[in-house]
Amino acid sequence: MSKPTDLVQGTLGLLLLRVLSLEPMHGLAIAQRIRQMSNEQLRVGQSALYPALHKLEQQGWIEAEWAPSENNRRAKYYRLTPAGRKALKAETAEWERLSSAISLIVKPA
Amino acid sequence: MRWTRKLRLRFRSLFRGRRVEDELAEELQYHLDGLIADHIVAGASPGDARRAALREMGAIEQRKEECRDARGLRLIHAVLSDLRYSVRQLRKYPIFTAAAVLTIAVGIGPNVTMATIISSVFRPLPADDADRLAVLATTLSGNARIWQRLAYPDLQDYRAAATPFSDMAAWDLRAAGLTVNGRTDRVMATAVSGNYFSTLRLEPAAGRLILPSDGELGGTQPIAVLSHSYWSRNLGASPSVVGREVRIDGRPFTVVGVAPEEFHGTFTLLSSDLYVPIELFQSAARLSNRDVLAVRVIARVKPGVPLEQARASVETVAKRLEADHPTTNAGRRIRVYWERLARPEPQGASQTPALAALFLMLVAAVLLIACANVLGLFLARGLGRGREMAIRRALGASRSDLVRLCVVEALVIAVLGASGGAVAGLALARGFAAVAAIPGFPLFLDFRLDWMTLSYVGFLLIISTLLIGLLPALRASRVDPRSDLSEGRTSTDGRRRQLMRKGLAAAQLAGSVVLLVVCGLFIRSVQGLQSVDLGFDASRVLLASTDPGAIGYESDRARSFYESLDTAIEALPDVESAAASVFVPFGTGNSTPYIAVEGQPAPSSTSGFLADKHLVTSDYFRTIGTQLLRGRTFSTTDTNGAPKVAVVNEALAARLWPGEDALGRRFRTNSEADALLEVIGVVPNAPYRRGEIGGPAVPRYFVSLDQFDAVNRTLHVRSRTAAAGTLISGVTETIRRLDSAVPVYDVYTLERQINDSGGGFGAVKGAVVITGVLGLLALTLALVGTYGVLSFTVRARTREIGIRMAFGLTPGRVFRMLLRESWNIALFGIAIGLSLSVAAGKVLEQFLFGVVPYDPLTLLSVVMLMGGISSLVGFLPARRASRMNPIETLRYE
Repeated sequence: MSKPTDLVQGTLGLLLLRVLSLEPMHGLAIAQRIRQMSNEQLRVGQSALYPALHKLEQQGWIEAEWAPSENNRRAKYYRLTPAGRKALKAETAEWERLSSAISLIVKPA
Repeated sequence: MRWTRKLRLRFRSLFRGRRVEDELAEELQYHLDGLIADHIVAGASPGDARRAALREMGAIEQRKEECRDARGLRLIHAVLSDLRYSVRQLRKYPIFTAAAVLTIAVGIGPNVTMATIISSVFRPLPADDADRLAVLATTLSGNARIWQRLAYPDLQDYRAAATPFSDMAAWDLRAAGLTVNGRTDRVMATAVSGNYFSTLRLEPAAGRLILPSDGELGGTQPIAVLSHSYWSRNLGASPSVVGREVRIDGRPFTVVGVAPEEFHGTFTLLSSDLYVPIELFQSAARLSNRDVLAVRVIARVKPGVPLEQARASVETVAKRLEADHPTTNAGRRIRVYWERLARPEPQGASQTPALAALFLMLVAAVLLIACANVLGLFLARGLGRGREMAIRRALGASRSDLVRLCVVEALVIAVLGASGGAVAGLALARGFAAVAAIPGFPLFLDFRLDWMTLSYVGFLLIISTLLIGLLPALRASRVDPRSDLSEGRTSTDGRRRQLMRKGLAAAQLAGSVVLLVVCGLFIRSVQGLQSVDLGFDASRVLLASTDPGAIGYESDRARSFYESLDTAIEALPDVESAAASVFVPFGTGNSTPYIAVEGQPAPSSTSGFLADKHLVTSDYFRTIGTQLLRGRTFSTTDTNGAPKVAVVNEALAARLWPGEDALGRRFRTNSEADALLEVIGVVPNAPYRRGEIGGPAVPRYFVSLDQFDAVNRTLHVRSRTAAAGTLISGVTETIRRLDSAVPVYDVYTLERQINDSGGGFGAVKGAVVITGVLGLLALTLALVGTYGVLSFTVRARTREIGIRMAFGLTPGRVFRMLLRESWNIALFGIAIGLSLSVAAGKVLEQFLFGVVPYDPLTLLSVVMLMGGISSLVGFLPARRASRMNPIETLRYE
């Protein structure tokens, strides 16, 4: 937890895993879904999205497949792997532990 | 399973890089198009929508780079692009590239040749757990010599009592005539005990090997095992060979099997084609005599047992044997060596590895000089590239990027050079094996590019890459964009850079001084050996060996064969006289029995002393040109039934009868146990072994072939003319006319035997050739390097020299100033080289003859040579500088 970016990046991975646990989708759809699900609160910049996706793929948590999209073009669909599912569980638990710990400190008693 | 998936992804990114890149571009494009569509839906014009989307996306190339980073391939991509850049750069400067690659190849080549030869000598036997194999050898107290053989009864005792060994086998090597399909080849045969192959743990390629169940000494059944190479060369590797009848020295044998491929016997430098029971080739009396060192021994040390423990155990048994058999075993000890380190024979256990290390160091010196040369090239070019590096820095390349670029460039050069050098070096090694025909010794070296050699070449490759790449890399990393980009760096280089370049040149010269001095010392050794009066007239004597025993001649038949041969050869024109002997001066064969004066106890290792025994015919001394000092040589009356007689050399006479006349006195030997030999003549001490030159004379005696039989003999034919070589065809034809089936071999002059054979001066001459070639190579490289540094210095100092001349320095003084600089380099290099040479000479001392390691003549010649040549090399750039027009040089800016 040395730099704030670590927190953001780690969180982004968790968000991506969570979104992809619903259904396989491509990068643009992931960005839109995160925006919707957070009530327009969170906007994932493309600058962070794709490196994070490629990194998750490299880690073996998600896998990619080219498939026709809703506008009949070829798009790269990402899907959770079993390992990714396990990671999502672990990361979620970790996040809850962390956020409640932070709440304990931040919330006035 | 996750790591396999990861690995697959990595490989995909690496090897299907184009596809991955395309997909990345497509993915980002899809995203961009989606954003544009969203903006248009929200009511923006297509142009505004596109601009807004692009703004949101940010720098797309940077996104791609980040994705590549995420894939963990940045370094590889960077190296690949460096590689492409380097190859482009090197192709742009073909002369620079060719010079650098060629220089590295010249440096690596000799290393590969040497490593191939050394690895073929030290390659482990193709046996299971070959590193547990050991050899045993005998020593006697008060004698520095190491005997390759043990007495067989001793071997039996060590085998029974020395527990650190799991087994010990006996073997010996001899030439034999092998007749298959009516054709007789003279091959190397290994006579083996029954457990020879089981001790080595070898499996047959066909049939079976000789087994312990055949008998402890291989049994008395005439069975034979063929080598894999003989089997494939002469019998088409046909499995039907098992059970085939062959003839060995005329006797019928049954082939029971074929030895495994790649197994060439247990004598490293020879290839054995035949394995037979030792019992059939050595008499039972000889094998059971504790006083005859009859067999070579290979043993297997139990797993995990250190050699010291094996040695200690053998020592204990040796002491017990000394107490039990004092007449034979007093002072007798056994040495134990790892088999690989005691090649070719235990005698060489200390010398061969030392010699190998020495030669590896000499060829490494050539590589170092070559690297220094290429480094010089790189540094000289680096000056011109300072701007390029500064621009790269200014454009955002990190220091590590620049270092990487330089190292990759060096790596490309080194890889190209090393591959070229490796191919050439391997070819050279093969050529060497073909050329190095040693008289009387069918040298066998198994040249294969094995892992040992390959990894050594890889090691050299890394070393040379670092040597030529690291310094330019460090320099590039220190580039400062501000100062290096500023226009026209015109001043002369700082002292440090100049010193470094000159130091490089001096180091190259020092390296070649060492090589030349070593070569000079070997040349002087050969001179020393050749200047010795050998006491016989080698140039006019032709040698020709025959072995009628190989096709089954019995001793009576052989005797009459030799009698008619002698008459027929002496009838040839140009033949002055002909004689025969069993052993040749400076040959590999010898017999050294114990002797003692009549009246003393029977000679043995404890009661006698060793003497060289030679079997010769009556004309021998006349034929090789040795004068009898006293008495007579053998005559027709010294026949089988007559009293046995001997001619002895002065050393033997002086040892047996000091201060007395030896003529008419008698002595006994343990090789002709029942016979007393009466001295009928005395000859001067002529050296028959290399060790006798400059060392003590060996006691030697000669007996008559009419009184003692030997079936294989070497004819000595003395020519009337100065060149005995002209007799070759006449002599071989004469032998063939008598019996065309009798093998004739080793036909060459006695002079060649002395000068070129392993027992003669061949090894030292070989060292002269090798170090000579290396020395010249090193010298050439060093001179090219020095010339490069000097002319570079002149070029870099153009402006400075121009200014000096403008201020009145005369051309003559410019010339002298620059010549003095090259002398400084040479002096420095020679001084370092000489001190290194003396150190190398100390290591060499045991291989030198009649010359001290600091031989003044050698050192002086090398100094003169180097001084002369480096002045010559310094002359050209100095003259060029002195002829410069100062106005021109200053206008250059």
